[in-house]
Amino acid sequence: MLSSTPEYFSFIVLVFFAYWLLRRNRRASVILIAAANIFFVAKWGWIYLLLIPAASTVDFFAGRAMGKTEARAPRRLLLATSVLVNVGLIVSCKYIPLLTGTWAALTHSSGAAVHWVLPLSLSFYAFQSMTYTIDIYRRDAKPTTDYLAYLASSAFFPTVLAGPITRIATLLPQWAKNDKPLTPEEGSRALFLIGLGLAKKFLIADYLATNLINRVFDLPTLYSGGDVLVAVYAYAFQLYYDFSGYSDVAIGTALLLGIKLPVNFNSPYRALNIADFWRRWHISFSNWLRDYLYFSLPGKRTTVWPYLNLVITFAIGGLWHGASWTFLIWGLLHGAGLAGFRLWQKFTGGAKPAQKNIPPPSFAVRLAGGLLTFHFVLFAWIFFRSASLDTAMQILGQIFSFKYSFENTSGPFLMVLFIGVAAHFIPKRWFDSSLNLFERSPVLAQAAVLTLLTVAIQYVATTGAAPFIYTSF
Amino acid sequence: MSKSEQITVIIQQLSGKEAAPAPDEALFESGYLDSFALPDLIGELEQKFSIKIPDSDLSPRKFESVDRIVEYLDSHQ
Repeated sequence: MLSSTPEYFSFIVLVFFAYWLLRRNRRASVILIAAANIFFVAKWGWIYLLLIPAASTVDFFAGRAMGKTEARAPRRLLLATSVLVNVGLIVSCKYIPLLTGTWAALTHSSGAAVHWVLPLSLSFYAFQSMTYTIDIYRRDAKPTTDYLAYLASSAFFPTVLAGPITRIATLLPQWAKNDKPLTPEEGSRALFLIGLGLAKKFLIADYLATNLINRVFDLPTLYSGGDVLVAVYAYAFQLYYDFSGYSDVAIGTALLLGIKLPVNFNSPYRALNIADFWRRWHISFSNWLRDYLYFSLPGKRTTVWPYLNLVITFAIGGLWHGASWTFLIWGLLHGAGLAGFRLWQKFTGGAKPAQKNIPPPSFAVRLAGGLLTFHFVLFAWIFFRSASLDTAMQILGQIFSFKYSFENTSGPFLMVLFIGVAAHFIPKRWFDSSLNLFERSPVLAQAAVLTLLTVAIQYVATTGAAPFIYTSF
Repeated sequence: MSKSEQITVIIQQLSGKEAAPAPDEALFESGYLDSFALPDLIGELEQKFSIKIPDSDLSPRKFESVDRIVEYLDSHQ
């Protein structure tokens, strides 16, 4: 059940009404969400009926046991058990199918069985669950005694497919407050975010993908350098609108139940440097990498290791997207970029301008920084999107052939791309004003806007419910 | 100068930002701190408040806001 399908929205409507009907009975409403979570993942395969409750139960009891002892050895053992279970889920969902597929190709036998058994990647579930036990181990959070609230949080259905990765410690207290009614402003904001997310997905991301990007990345040598270059630029915006659209739908869905999720994107292509980019792009993931991977590595206070740890962290982050050279290169590029930027800051004193009386950067410097950052990110996206290293090299070969023509770049495509670029760079206050206007509008006007959006999606969308890109990770 | 004010000054110096962070402001999300600045902050806190912070406590959650840092220092001094 993808979160862009009518089936998903029928499911939300049912859960929404049942949840608020039960809101005075906290236990019943939490049971409902726990059941909705299990139903949601079970729609992907019956095996999840067993996997999710089993993994959640291990983490819940590991957390409780950690809370009862101060001894280091048992706490470490309990944490290791939890990490092993969750990393095991990621490996079995993502890498065993790959390994069996490779083995099948090598031995000319059938390796499709595991794909069939585990159609849904549980990596976002695993990341979210690990926040619970690692926080307890580090004494950054206390274990809960409420098993049902834990089940409602760990596999919370709006986040389980592709985040935003939300710390369980921030979700758990929110179930205790669910006797507070949903305000009209919160309801309007939730609908606005869901509508915005669908518009981003169907009106921009899918349109760009279908009308040039997918074809170019499938067979780049059939296209001129100009068309390939446009497709690469467009991909940066397709990925942003696809993933931030997904995040908006997830955040809006959770808000309909009175649950607040963290923001996942903040105009990432406005970043002035690569460190700034990672504070704006897939924020919940970069925070997770920083909090739970980078700070778990040794040598935090040494001179050299922090730089190497950045590269290691992002290499692992890259490989998490898939076991391929392209994702590894993407991760290494970002890790090396961040380490290089930090080194540059160290030698130029850019990290501490106030101490050294360096004036703030001029507009020209900020513009140059922004353009350099964007094109670095764009270069790395080529590897991220390409199916293989050969394809990435073909894309680069076409771009640097300098034979530019634009036979396959249509006017409507450029118009949608332009709208996407312009919408990304609009001032934040414009977005906030639109949201406020929607919130303050009468219900009928809100319904009219959402109906118009539905009609526009029906008119423009030609691909049906294409999966959100990040649900495959 | 209160503990909270002293911490605020350290963070301003480390980040190079003139504006002071609010006591409950998320220091990492708002760009005051990053993964490299945290060990620097720990070093400054150790020096200023004469405490030893173990490596195992180098977790962004413990130092995610001025309030949290005050809370940490109060429980370790």
